[in-house]
Amino acid sequence: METLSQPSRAAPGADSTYWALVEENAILREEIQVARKAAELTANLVVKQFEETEKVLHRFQVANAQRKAVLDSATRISIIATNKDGVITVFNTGAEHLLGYTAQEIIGKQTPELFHLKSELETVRDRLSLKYGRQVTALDVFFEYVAQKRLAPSEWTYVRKDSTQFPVRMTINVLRDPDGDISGLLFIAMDIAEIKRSEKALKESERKYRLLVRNLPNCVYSGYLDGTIDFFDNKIEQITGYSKEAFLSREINWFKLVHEDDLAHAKEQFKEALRTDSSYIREYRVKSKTGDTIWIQDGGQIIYGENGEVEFITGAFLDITERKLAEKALHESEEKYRSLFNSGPIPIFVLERETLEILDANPMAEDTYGYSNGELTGMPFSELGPVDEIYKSISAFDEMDWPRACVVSSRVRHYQKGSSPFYVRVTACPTRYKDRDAIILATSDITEMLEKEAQLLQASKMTTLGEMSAGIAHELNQPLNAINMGSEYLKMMIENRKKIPEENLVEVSDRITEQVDRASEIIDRLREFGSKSDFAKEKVNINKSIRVAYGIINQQIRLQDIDVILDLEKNLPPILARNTRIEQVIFNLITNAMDAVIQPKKARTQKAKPAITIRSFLENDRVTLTVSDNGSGIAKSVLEKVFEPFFTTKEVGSGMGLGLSISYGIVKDYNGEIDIQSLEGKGTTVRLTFPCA
Amino acid sequence: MEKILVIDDEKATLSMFRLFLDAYGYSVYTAENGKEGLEIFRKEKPAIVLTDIKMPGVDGLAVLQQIKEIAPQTAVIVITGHGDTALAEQAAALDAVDFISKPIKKEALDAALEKAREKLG
Repeated sequence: METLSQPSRAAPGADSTYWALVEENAILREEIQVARKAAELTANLVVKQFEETEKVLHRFQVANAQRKAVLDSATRISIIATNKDGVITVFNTGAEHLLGYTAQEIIGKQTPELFHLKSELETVRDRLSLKYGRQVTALDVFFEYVAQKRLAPSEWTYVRKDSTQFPVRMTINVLRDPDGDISGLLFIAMDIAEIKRSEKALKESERKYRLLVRNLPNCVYSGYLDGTIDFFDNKIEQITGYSKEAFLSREINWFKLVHEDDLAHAKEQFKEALRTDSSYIREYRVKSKTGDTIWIQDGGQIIYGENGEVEFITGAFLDITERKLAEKALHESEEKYRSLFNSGPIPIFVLERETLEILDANPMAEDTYGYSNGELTGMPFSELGPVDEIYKSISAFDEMDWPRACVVSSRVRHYQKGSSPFYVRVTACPTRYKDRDAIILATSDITEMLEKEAQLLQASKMTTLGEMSAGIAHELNQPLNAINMGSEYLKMMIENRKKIPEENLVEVSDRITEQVDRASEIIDRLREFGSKSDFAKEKVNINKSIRVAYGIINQQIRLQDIDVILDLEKNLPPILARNTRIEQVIFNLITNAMDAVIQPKKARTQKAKPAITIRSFLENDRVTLTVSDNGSGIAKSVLEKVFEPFFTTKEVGSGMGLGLSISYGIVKDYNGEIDIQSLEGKGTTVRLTFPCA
Repeated sequence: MEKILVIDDEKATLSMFRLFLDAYGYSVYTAENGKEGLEIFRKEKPAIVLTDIKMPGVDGLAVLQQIKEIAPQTAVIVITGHGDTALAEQAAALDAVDFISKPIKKEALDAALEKAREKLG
């Protein structure tokens, strides 16, 4: 606007006033024109400038919005800016989200103590303080950090508002003003807790895998078609004696180690794998460095290349030498037992445990029972003999210590083909047969032994009868005497022609009948006692047996002036035995008791009257019988031998010494128990117990 | 009537003796064992005693011994089992007048009773 003020300064005189005016006007006009022009130009410029400003302003606004959007959208990334004094100027949504503070409450506050781990800062600060030889502030740590590490991100720990901590990866940058001076710091941090966790999990998994490979007995390998092979650890050296390097350097080829007899088959298995699912498990022998033969189990998976060619084989070896040796030993053991089974001198059967069906039988079983192996296999064992006892044994197995749980039965009757019976003793043991629960059962033919035993028994009975003959004669003489006197009386009266009073006739005839009955009874008892008994069992009432046995001997006992107490429990259950045999046992026990009480009086310390007590009762579900005497008793040294055959304390000639041993055999036959307790000079008690029938 | 005592543990035998000796005209006493027999003997003082040798409790030989102590003049006839000669000899030694063995025959009984009466005079 200077040009406009010019004319006022150019009006110095009046004469020249017109021209001066004209000139002045012209100048003015010109000036005005110029001024107008200038004004126009200026206006345009101003407008233009205004427009420019508008544009810049708009761009700025857009950039600002973008910046804010970037800040806010980074919800997983914390962006914090400070001025150079550490006062927070920016705190984005991500920072709010991660740290739990709002921007509002944090902007204007001082960093770094607010959400940095103090100990972490201090560690760095102390290190820096030491390095520079001066006290470094917490904020300096970051400046130093930036100065030294530049932009490299590093791991720090952030502390949330709720004081929980989490690891962050943080980059720190300095902010500079337009002049390039440092105006603040920019912290960009990312939560890496999740990453850390995954890393840890991955590491753990890798560690476990390595541990597995190391600790597995399997020796992991990568093998190639030419027999070269790589190993991942040195377990192969433990197995073969060759180190993994020996294989890696191709000094050793695996195929060279494989036993020549096994190589062809192993290769065949590989080809088979190629045809099928590309995996195989094969077993073969390899020769170790020391020349030992090692059994290898080789499990492999064939890996193909892009063009379908075999690239390599990944697999693992396992040393199974021990297993193979055990298998061989087992096989040999089986062979051994098989030959024992086959050549066994007694019949042996293998029975299915539940059904007792015959699974196998040895040749001796075929011979003895008269069936062929084909006939025996699959046959129920019950066709050969009773199975009740076997079933009982089976239930007993469970309570016993396997495999020593074997059960021996007493004699049982078995049948050969064609039903001819014979007697056996059965031994049954639990076993496994072809993966099934089974019973191995052996039968020993004891028919001959039983016959011998029966002969012996008979002999002993006859001996006993012989020993008893005087007593029996005496007993039979009594009724004979009465009968004889009766008839002599009648004869005398008739000869003398005397009248017999009617009551006397009745008396005589009654007495005769009574005494004949008595004599027959004695004879019956003797006959029964003397008869041979067979082995079949029957229900035996033990009280009845006691009465029969006692009946035979009671006359002698009475004459020896011995008190006998019979204390028999009524309604005892029966036992499963043989009447005559049980009677024989009881008879034998009573005879022994009688002998004990009538031995020379000096042997008896007590002056009590000789007495024998016979008791029967039920105890622990067993029918029990005791025969006690108050006689001489048995010395301990003798007591151990009383059940031995031919052992006797009686004088030579007065007995065979078979009594107790035979009694023992009989009692055992009927699953009974016999025991004897004695005190020298006090007496003896023999106790028999039998299971109820 | 002459008193006679029979001791035997056999009831049937005693019963038959009673018939016989009744018919012979004796006044008959019987006992089933030695102890009872001795009691009756002390009470009735029979001149003749018949006793079985084998008896429970007090046996025939003991009875014979005691009777001889109480009344030595008594005629005691012992009854033995078949073939018990050893016992018969022992009885003889104890001054038994005779022995008869079972089964008893009438002749043997008569002979023994005869001997007893001879001894009694």
